[in-house]
This record gives sequence, C-alpha cells and structure tokens, in this order.
Amino acid sequence: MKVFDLKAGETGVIKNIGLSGSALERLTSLGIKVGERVEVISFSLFKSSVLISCAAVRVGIRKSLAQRIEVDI
Amino acid sequence: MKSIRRCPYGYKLAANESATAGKKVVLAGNPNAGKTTLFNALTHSNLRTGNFHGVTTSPAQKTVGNITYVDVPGAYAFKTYSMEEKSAVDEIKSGDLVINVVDALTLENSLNLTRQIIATGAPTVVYLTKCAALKRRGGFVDTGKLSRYLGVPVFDCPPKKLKKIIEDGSIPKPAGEKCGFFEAYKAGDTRISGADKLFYNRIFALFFFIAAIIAMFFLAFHPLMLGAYLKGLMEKLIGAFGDFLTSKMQNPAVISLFSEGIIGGAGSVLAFVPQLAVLYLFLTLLDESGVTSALAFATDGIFEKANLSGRAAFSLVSGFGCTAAAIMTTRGYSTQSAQRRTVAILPFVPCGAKLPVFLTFLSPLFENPFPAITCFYFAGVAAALIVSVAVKGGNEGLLSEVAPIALPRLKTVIEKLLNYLKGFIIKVTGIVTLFCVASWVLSHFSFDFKYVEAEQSMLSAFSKLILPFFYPMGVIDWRIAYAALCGFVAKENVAAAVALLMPDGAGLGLASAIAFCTFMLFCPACISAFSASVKETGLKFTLKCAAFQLLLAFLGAYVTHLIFAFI
Repeated sequence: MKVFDLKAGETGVIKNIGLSGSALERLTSLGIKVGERVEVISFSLFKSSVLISCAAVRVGIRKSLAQRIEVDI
Repeated sequence: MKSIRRCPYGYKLAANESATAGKKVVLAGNPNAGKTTLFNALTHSNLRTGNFHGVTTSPAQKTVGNITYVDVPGAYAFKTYSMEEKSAVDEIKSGDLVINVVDALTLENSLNLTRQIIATGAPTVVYLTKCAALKRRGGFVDTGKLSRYLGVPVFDCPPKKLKKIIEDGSIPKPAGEKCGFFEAYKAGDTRISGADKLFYNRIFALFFFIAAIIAMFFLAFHPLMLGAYLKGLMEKLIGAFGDFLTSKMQNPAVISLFSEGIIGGAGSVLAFVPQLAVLYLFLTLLDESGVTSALAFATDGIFEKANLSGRAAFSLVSGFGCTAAAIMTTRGYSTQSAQRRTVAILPFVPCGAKLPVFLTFLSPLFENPFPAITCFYFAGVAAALIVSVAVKGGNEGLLSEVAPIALPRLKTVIEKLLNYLKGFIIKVTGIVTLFCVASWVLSHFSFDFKYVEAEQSMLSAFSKLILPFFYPMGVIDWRIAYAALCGFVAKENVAAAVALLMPDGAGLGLASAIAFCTFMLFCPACISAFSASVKETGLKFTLKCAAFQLLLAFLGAYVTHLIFAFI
C-alpha cells in the first residue's frame, strides 16, 4: 500500500521508498526512512499532496512522490 | 566566566584568549532553525526572517569588531536537494568557527547535519533555538549532557551571551563522561494539536485565507476603518508641516519646489504608511503563527493545477510586500524551470507600492474604495495563476516541512513590522524625494532653462512622445503618461508624480481610471525587481518576461477601457 492511499488519521510503517537522489536524501534527513511509522494528517486541495508526520516532523509531499512510498498498515 | 554560567561543564580555552579574532564565524543549520534571527541578534542586522523553510537564499555576512559572521541558507545534509543548499556547504567548510543552529523541536533529525559539520573538522558549537516551545510541549533538553553526547559545546543561552562567549574566545569544551541521547533530550508531546488540524484542513484553510485577505483589505481601506482614518491624520500632519516649512520662504519657485514637489509628491506617498502597516501586520501575523506555512500546504492543489511549485504559495504571499524580495525567495527551488515560472508570474501580484497607485486613481471615484481595490488584488493573483498555466516548463514535486501552528511572538511581529515600515519610509524620503525634486525641475523649466508653466516644460514635451500609447485607455493627459513611466524606477513614484503634477487629482473617469490601474497591475515591476530577476534567471529571460508584461499591460488596459466605456 502506498502512503498516498492511507486515509487521514491512519498510520503505517514505511516498507520501501522508491525514490533516489536528492529527494530520498531529504526524506532521510527528515527522519522519514524504512521502518519508521508515519501518520497521514491531511490532504491538500484537489488531493494534490499529502501531509504526513513522523515523530516531530511534518512534511508535505506531492502525489507523484508520495505514490512511491510503500507502507504496511 | 559569568557569561557561560548556563553551561555547567564550562572551562576556558586557555591557549588562545581570542580564538576567533579576525576569524570567520559561520551560522549553519536546517531550514527554519532560526539562523537569520540569531545572525540579526549577533550583528544587529535586519535581514529578512520568516517562519517558513527556505527564507534565506544566499549567504549574508557582516563583520562586527574583528569577527565576520556569515549566515548561510538552511541545509539538511551536505548532499543537497535544492540549489540554495549548495552554496551553504562551501561556506560551512570554510568557517573558523561553525555555529550549528539547531531547532530543539526537531532535534533528532537536525543532528544528521550536526554530525556532518563536526566531521569536517571545523570547530563547531551547537546553538539550540525554540527551547521554550519544547518545554511547552513537555519535552526537555540538557545542554550539558547533549554536549557530552555530541562531543562539542552546546548552548541555549540568549544570543547576547553567545556573542560574548565568541568574542572572548572562551568556548568551553565538553567535559565528563559520554552519555546517551535520551538522557539529554526528550521530544515531549509531538501530536498534532487541534489548531494544527484545523489549518491543515483544505476547506477551512482556503476559506480562512480568503477571509483573512478580505478582512485585511477591509481594515486597511474601508473609509471608517483604522487604515484610512490614520491616513487622513497623516495627510493633515504632513500638510501642516509643509505649511510651516514654506511660511518663512519668499521665492515662489522655492515655495513651489517644497510645497508641490517634496511635500505634495513624496509627502503624499508617505501618508500611505498606516495602510501599509495594516497590510504588513496581517501578513506578518500569518507568517509568524505558522498559518502561512499550513495554508501553503493546504492550498497546494491550486498551485499544482497552475504547474507551480509547492513553495510558490510562500513566494506569492511575499509578493504582496515586495516583488524583488519575493523573487529572491525562489532561489530555494530545486529546479530552474520551477523557479523561472514563479519569477515570471510574481510581478502580477500587486506589491505594497502599487497600493498608493490604486488608491490615487480609485479613491476619487468611489466613496468606499475597499471593494474595487480588493478586486484588483484578487485579479492580480488570478492573472499570475493563469499566466503560469500558459507558460511551458517543468513541475516541481513538493517536499517541504510544515511549521506547527503557534501564537506569534509579539516582539518579533513588531520588530518585523517596524523594519518593513522603516524600509518604506527610507525609500520615500530618499529615492522618491530625489525623484520628486527631479520631476519638479523637469516640469518647471523649458529646454532653454526658463521657469515656465508645466505645459511648456521639457517634461511635457518628452512625455507627449509616449502619450499616444495611452490614448486607447482613455488617458489623454501627458502627466499621467509620465507617472506611468516613473513606475519603472519605483512604483511609489507613480502616486508621487500624480500628486506633484496634478494637485487636484488625476481627474480620470471610471473607464480610464480602471484601465490605467489595469495597466499598472500588469506592467513590469520596478528596477529592483528587474535586477533581482536578472540575478535569479538571467537577462534574456527577464527581458522576455518584461516585454510580455508590457504587451499584456497595454492590451489589458485597452480592453478594460473598451468594456467599461460601454457599461
């Protein structure tokens, strides 16, 4: 399941991040990595992106990127 | 040793009394950690800060005593993501002392960069910010234990104390046994608060944003509200000052220079300070409370549909203040095409200086100019979004931290507000006044330097050359054509030139006034925005944009005039 498919309020543990390069670097440095539990807080207008939280970090991710982050519920 | 009493492990670097004399101190850290706020405190500067990730976009430096402080854009890691962060790494590596500014709220993640900085071998100290907010949410951080965990000194003292420690060169080294991270730090309750949830809700966020903007304009422009009321007072004050100044003067030419040129021109623009203050107070409150950051996320769908970066929301909001400053914020974008697209549309967002222009032309026509001006602001943003859809270019994936919602600190808000107003007043008393003097001279002397009526002046002869372009928008007075031209130096000049040359008002009818305001809305921004754009996107691209904007401004104004002439 992709993180983008979760509903607001649901959580999941990251199984795989299908990104590379700088986007992956940035996620990692924000503490969003495989094995971490993330919560979907909300979606933006027209569901263009998703706001997820992981520990104290809140990060907005556009759909195209969020669809490459796999989670286990 | 008083200055480092808060650091329980402190001892003096004995060998070198002034370890940082003539040295470079670099401030580095994650985006939105508070580097620029610390930089301003250390150097008594007034660099722009904002509660948003990526406000600082290029290294700034200032020398105090014999220490040069360098403020670098935020970076998450040395392997970089966006263009802005590349310049940061080079600066960090070249520092004699690196102050790693760390947001205590997100400490665990920030340490990733901290470790990389320490690994470069540059002498490093960690400075914690937002400790009070951490305490409020039930967390704690022990600087002594954290410094033993990291192996570098850690401070959470006020900036003044930190400055003294740096100047004295008495940086304490961590002493004692190494300890675990969780003895030193507890994150506290990081759950999303009710206020956060509300502002992250897309429907609420959209309505709140529109309501806030309308409330802002209402307070600023409605004749019975604060902004307009204070403006009236300011006008009276400036008028009285002008009368006092000219009461002792004899020479009619000198009286005219002061009363029409300086007081009438620049003074009339200065009277807009209260209304600008209301606008900027609103924008600052939204920014400092984290609401702008939340709204930028929640309304991302609109920006995505317009092919804009997720960060564009922040740039557009900055554009209400100053286009040049807004253009600088685009350096944080990760791709050039996303940056160019945003730079191309920013001039359509009406900056603070366009406000006096709209008011000058619309106030005589409406008893209450608030709805008309609000329409122009929304039209500007709509035009920006529409143009963005039309421009080709790549998109940028949004991957940006969102700041938590918190009550803004009154002190910061007031400081920022005063700073912005100071900038406006300096501009008006400086460049705009000079400009008014020049305009006065040009409009009172003929080519053979005789003191003449404005109609025979060299300004009149020159302005009549460009006047035909303004005929189709119903403008047949050369003085307004000249005012429009002045706008390319600074938009404040438009209102100043009208006030100077046409003391009884511009005298435009509804159709031509709205057409001229449309021209001002779409036309290229001022020279400082132009040079910011050249710096960010190159001359060729900037010229292309300017030509397009000029064309759109004329065509838009012609069409608007046609439409309103028939109504």
